[in-house]
Amino acid sequence: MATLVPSLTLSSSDLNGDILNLSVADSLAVLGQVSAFQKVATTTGVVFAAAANFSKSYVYLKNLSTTAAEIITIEKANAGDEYFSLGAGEFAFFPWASVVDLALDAAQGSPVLEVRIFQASAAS
Amino acid sequence: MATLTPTLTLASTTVFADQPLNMTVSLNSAVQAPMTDINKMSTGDNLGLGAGIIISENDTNNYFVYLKHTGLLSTDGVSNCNATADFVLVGNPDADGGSKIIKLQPGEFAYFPTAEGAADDAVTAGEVGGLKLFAGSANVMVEYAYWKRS
Repeated sequence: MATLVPSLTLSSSDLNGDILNLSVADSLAVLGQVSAFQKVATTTGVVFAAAANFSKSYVYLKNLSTTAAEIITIEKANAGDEYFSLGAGEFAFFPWASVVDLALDAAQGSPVLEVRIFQASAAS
Repeated sequence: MATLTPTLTLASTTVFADQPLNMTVSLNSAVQAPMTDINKMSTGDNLGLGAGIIISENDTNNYFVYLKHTGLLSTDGVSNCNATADFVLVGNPDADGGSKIIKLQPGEFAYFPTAEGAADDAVTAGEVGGLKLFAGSANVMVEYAYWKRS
């Protein structure tokens, strides 16, 4: 069985008067498709992962741009519900319910989104 | 202003037949109030915004958010929940059932920067911003934290 091990550390020495040093890890079964690609965002929302093509999956996203204004919004569809706002160099990792599509939309320019999708079960 | 440093590693020796996966990303992010430390709540708790709502849909800030399903029932905070039925859905705090993007099973976590809300957001489809937890079945305990992006 294929297993994905994600780990996240959140640290800061100047928050709340207390040191933040959180570490979490998990061990996730990945029995289905694995998709890894880069997508160029435009100022019109375009679906890059259709819910109909996946079952529950673990998704990693990163805005590869180094230009501050090239923010990528992750949304359900063009002009649909908006969920994430990835600034230059910012990333996200989340278990995707796969009930809504994932679309990307650039605030300006043509930033590139790195995408990795690990499907939990074998069947879509 | 403060600095939050998230570091994410994805590793596997079994996802691909002939190539291990081992990638790490990290970024220093400037943050400021409003922010939280690590908190814990039930999916049914009302923090003043409505049951399960962590960030109002009317909040026009961007936040870095951490969420983790603890796997514990909120009835006593120590009993294990049902591993299959007691998931947590996360989405915009509206009535649109199709807005739920994240599904956390026990032990799973997420980290992401939110899209900003709109001050005049109505409860309709096509909404932006906000964050709400929806219990799959029984209410469970969830850890969360958020920091406003500067």
